[in-house]
Amino acid sequence: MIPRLATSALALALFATTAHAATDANPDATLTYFDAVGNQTLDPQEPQNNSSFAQGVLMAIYEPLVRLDEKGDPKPGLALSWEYNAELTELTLKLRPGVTFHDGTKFDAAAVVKNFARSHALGGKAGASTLETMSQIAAVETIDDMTVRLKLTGPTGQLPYLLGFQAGMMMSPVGLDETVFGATVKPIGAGPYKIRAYESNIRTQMVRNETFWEGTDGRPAGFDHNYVPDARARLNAVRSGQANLALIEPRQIAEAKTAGLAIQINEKNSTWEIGMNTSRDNVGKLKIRQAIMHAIDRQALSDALGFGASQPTSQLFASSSPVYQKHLDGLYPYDIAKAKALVREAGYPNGVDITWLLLNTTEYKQIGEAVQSMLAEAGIRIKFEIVDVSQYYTFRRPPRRGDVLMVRWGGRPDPLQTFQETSGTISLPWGAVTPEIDDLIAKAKGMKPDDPRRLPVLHELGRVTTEQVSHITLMTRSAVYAYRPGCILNLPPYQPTGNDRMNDTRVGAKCK
Amino acid sequence: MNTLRYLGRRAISTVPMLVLVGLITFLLIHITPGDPAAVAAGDNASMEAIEAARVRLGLDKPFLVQFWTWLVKVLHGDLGVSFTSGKPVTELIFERLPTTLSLTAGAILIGLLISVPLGVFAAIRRGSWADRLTIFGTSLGIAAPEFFIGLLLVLLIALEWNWLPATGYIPFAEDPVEYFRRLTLPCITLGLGVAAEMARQVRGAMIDVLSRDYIQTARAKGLSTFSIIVKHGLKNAAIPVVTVLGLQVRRLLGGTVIVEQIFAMNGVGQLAVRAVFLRDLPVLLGVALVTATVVLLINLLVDMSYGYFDPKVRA
Repeated sequence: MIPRLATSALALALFATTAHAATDANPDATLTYFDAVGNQTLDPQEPQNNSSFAQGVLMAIYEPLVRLDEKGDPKPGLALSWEYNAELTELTLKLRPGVTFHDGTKFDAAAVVKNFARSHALGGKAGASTLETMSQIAAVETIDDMTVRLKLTGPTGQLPYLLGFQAGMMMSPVGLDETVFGATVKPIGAGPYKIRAYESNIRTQMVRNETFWEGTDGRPAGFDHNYVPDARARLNAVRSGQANLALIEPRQIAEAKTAGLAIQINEKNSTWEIGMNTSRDNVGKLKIRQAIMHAIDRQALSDALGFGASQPTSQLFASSSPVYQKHLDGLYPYDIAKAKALVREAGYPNGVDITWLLLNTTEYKQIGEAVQSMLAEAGIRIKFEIVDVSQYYTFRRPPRRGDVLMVRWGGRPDPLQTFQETSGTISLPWGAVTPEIDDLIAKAKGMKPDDPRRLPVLHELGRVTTEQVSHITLMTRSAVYAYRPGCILNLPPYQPTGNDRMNDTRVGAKCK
Repeated sequence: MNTLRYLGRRAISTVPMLVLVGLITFLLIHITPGDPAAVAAGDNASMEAIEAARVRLGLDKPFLVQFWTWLVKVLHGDLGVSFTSGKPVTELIFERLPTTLSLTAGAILIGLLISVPLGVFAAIRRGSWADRLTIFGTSLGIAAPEFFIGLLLVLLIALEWNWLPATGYIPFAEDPVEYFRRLTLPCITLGLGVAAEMARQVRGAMIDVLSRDYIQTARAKGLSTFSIIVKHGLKNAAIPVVTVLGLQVRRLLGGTVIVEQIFAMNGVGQLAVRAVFLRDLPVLLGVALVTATVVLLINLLVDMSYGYFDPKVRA
């Protein structure tokens, strides 16, 4: 009874918030957002759009079959409901009636079949997430006009999550086949915004979709997404009124506050993470990996470089995630003496040399140099091999440069995907640090999202990956927004992607 | 007829220059670390996808074959297609050219409006406190980098006083008033450097001209000061000034890269920067070629102007 009451109270609170937002919103305004990431094309299946940080515009244009809520739980989208068979080898989707694409084309089973046929035909040209999704779907059957059945390649309970990401984003079927790809795709979806003008990697101008199935209550008349790489220009644009919302860097928080702007810090399932090539002699040894864990003062790191928008952690999930386990953050406390001892025990009495493939941006270099000086105290000598951001892939692919590589992990819709992509043999050419990880991944994959046994398996994965140090997490990352007070309503943290979802964000009526 | 022949000769002489620009750019991109095929294939692309992209983009062919293929296309008016956006390079450049040309033209206009009166004034008052102040001010203007001036202007005029917008570009056809408002600060940022450089040139040239015999003769004939300065002084001082102005255009085209970044304007400079990061070979080559063509055209115009300012050159 108590949980039900609590759920009802939460639902009422959410309703009140949304109703409040709609009342105070200006539906004639345009949401002008200056972002740090752009879209090279508006094809959701194109590899560049696989980035977790490039989803904002795609989510606004394309409605997915499954909608992931703010926490990442699968909820009805263009699919009204879904049902697995007992063996998890078939997934039947009941489609939402009365939905049309921006070009007036009806959304139905035929549209779903065409979308999946195209994604399947794209093969290796598609992004990793679409590839993974399509590898789990053997065939698509039309049951009736509004029902499709996905025949799966094997038992998997992961599809509701995956259909909430790119592969589930439905495009108008008119003229859609594998010959249209990337820049040649007409960006016509069924989302709350439709395209007005688009310049690759610069600007996407959208207008409100008046026939959106969920209604338009309070939604701004336009959504103007601008890619502005320079953080200072993004902040200046809000300060002088060319934008009403900007993604800023944590170091700009104080400046923005002094200028009288409102700051919103959305904590994400996003972290600064160090991946390791465990086929190497040095980081292949558990004791060296553990020594690194003990030698990093995460608190000092997030205090100095997080500017209040980061939390120290050794896991890949924010504390708000159900997969997060507080006790795991205490496994490797900052302890230089212990780190030194572990290095010696690993067979390196004179210290160990590690090559770090460092991406050439200020943020990466600042964090890299801070960690380098911390590790030096424990006898772990870091030598940087500085490369352009575009060269990050040379870590995992031939010539496999560097022993370690730091990246900003943007999170994934399904927490299991995070383990698959950071710790599983499916993604790591040198394999998982222990076969237990792959076993647990396979176990979780065979469970539906609402299976109560799934979360304990994910917790177990969290324990094993942290204990075995399959990756080294430094601190969380947050999306930091600046706007004039009262200008932006309803921009909650959206955990499934690196971007926050702005489909329901409103521009305040009192915004000047 | 002679002029036409001269123009023809100059136009032909620019061709090898442009080919050389293309070749050097091509070479520089090839020796820079980074795999355009991997970037084009996208994040998390498989090795197969990268190799497919390499073949699709023609990057699997030998260097000289790639260059020759590009050159033949260029000779047919085709600058190729962007590796990353899939759009024709010509379209990408011409979409952004109005921004960069507006910036450059505005900066030159501001530079001339400040430098000519200032340089003439300093020359007439040679040795006075006003002259010394001009020399000091122009030295500062030359020494101050564009990003510094730009950031100061944004901070003061856009953010503190809120007189002008801090970012963005609006096409003239869309909103003429906003077009000028948005361009004012970036043009001043770029124009101040031009003004400083040019004011010194004008001053020096005018001091030289004003000491000539024919100026003394004009004075003796009782001509007005205005007439002496404008008709006899400025016209004769123009050749070194115009030469420096031509060089300034080249500098400005480079300067737009930084100014476009500060003011979040999507011009050719920004296009080039992004193309470098994304290893977008056709775009980089296109930008280099178009920029080189603009510079060569300006040089030609400067050369042609010598004939107007000095009939001896025409002869």
